[in-house]
Amino acid sequence: MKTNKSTIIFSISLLFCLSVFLPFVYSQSTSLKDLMVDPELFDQKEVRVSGEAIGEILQSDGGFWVNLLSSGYNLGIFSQNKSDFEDISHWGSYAETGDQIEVQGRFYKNCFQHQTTDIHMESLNVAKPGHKNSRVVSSRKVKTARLALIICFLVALMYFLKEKIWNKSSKN
Amino acid sequence: MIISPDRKDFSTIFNILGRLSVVLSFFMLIPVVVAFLKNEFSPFFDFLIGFSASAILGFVLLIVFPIKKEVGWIHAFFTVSASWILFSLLGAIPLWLSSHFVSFLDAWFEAMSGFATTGLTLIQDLDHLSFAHNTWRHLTMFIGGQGIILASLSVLVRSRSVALGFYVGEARQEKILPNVVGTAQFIWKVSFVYLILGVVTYFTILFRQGQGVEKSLYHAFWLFFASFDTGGFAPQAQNIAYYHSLNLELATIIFMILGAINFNLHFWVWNKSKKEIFKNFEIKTFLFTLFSLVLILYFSFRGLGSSLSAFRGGFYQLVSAHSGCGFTNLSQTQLLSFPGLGLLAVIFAMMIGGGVCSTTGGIKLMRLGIIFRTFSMEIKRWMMPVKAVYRDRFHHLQDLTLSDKRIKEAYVFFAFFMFTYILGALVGMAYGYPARLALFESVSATANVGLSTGITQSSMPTVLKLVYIFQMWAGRLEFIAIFVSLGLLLSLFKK
Amino acid sequence: MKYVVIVGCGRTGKELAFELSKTENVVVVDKDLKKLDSLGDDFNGKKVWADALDINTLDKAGIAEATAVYLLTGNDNLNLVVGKVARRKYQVKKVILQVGDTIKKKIFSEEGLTIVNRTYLIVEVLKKCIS
Repeated sequence: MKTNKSTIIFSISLLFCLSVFLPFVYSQSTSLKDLMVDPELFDQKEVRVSGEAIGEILQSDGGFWVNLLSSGYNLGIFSQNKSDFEDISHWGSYAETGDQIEVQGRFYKNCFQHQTTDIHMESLNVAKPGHKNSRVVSSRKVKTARLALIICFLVALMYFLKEKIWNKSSKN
Repeated sequence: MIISPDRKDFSTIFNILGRLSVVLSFFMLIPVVVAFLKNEFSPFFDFLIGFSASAILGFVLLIVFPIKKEVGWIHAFFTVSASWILFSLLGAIPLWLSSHFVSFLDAWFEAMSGFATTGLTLIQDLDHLSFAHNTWRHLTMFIGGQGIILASLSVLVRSRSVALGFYVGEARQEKILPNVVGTAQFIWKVSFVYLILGVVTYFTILFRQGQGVEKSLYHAFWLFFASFDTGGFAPQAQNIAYYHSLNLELATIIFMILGAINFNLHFWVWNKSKKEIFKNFEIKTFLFTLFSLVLILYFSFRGLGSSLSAFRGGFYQLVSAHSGCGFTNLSQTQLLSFPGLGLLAVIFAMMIGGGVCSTTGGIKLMRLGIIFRTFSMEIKRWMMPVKAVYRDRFHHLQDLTLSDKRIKEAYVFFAFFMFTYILGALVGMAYGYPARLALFESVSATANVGLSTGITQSSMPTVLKLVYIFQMWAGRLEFIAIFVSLGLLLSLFKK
Repeated sequence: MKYVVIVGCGRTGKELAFELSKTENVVVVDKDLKKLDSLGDDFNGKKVWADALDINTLDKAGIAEATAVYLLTGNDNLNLVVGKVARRKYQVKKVILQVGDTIKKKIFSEEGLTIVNRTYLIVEVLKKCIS
């Protein structure tokens, strides 16, 4: 009898703990890819994702947005306050690689407010700051371009000369 | 009597292609300037190489192939078909040099998608693409939409009376003004006015969103080219979803629809009677199809319970599909999760397309309208006395008769398109893709829409890439030019 | 670009149509389909198959926008009547018509209406040949 009672109490408390923590189970970092490939699984749950911040902070649809990029998948992060995003200093573009940020928030497969897939963020931190991209031009490209331009100029010259000769001969 | 070509014909054709190559090379200077302004060194050279390649090819063709014959219809058709292939190959060069494409084939696919105002994309890492390259991607839609031929009409073609051949070869059968050059000039004027309106509208929205002045300006131009020319490329990987802006989505809807309307109707409303909008046959057909499809969409979503929340995405997709643009404010997973009937509604919208003589693809409203009318006409005929003569009329700018010739033409094009839609779907299915997705993608390519359920990616089978390139090309030119060209080539081999 | 309506697709009308269509908007009206077809499918202008005496025909041809109307049918009287209608009713700026009869020219001349007497022209050219 006693063992039965303790087992029951143990089970109940275990269940209680699980039920409290279950919504946070996905607080383990999830990859953006997993979210986008199987959104049903994560719908309306707390998630933590990381990715590169792209572009800039956008203000529209009742709040502020930052777009996240990770291994070929994109997602918009939403917040009511612009200040939530103020830590981000580098933004992904041709010239820059954006900050790698970690976002914790609630994922929506079909957010009612915005009718899109998004994350309503709760907290954010910059995991790895971004940097300016050093774009090196290959010398082969420069040489090819120079050569191509020279050939182009020569061929154009040939054409115009030919036209002149032609016109002269047809006038005679 | 079948016309068979000889050396002189081909000489003339190659000469014109040479001229067009030179014109293309000048367009490539625009991204060169952008690269210069934005200090994008590598793209700067990419486009110099592209410019040179096109110009060199152009001048060589001009030197080697003088115009031997008076330019005629045959030349026009063949040139139009060939120019799309030529332009896409040349236009692919700077794209491939950007290192954002896995292979040259992918870059060619992208260029063809641009010129054919489709919008299917194989680009990698779009969010980190240079301004110069993005300018080029969107510029191809402008060039393809307004017509490469239209551009050169006023400048290069000597024999103006044959300009018509080019015009028709490019699938524009209705003349706006009696003189084709006059028509071309009008289309340019109208596009320019809308360009100003579009850029101002988009710029205002984007700037207020928080994008800088420069970026807003670039994006405004790019989005205009993609929306008015119903192309569908967007500067960022998420397409229109990147902006998360209802205002922008509404603005794009306006310009997508403007681009999908017959240029003739634009002309009429501008110069003659505004009431034509209400009387016009194509507009009436469009309202009917859009309304029916929206209804189908609404009912298909009702089953899911969240009918209203899915509406913004669903409705936008429908207009984007119907106008042949291809903009999307949804993620791919969202599109895939459309209920079966909803996805079918989008497919139907894509199949139908916009007005004839517009930048849109698909079967086109005029023909669909004629098909509907023929049905009702046949039904009425059965209910009338045997000897009664019945002639139906419809109003498109003027009162026109539903002649047998028109009916036949409508059905022939309908058949061409449906056949191509299904053929592409079958190829997709042969590679293991599910039927409805394969059909979706095939229609998207042929009707030059650009919405994708995910089949279009760099990893897709090479054969499928080539099939879609062919479909985009065929759909844009509406088959006739291509058939004439093929016939020409075949007769050459018969000799 | 000017907007020119040519009524009558005979030899003269056809030649004129081809010439003008290189640079202007040309609409050709004739009640004989064969004549219109002889312009060719790739004619860079518009063809209207109708009788010029019919009230709707001129409207269809777009006479409201016309900068000039040529009346070149073989029927002088038709040319004159329709020419007058174009001038008076539609106020077309330039109406040019051909006739074969010198007397008609004197009777029907008016402001804005140019009458070309083909017989007279040919006679003048022939005279010069031996002068």
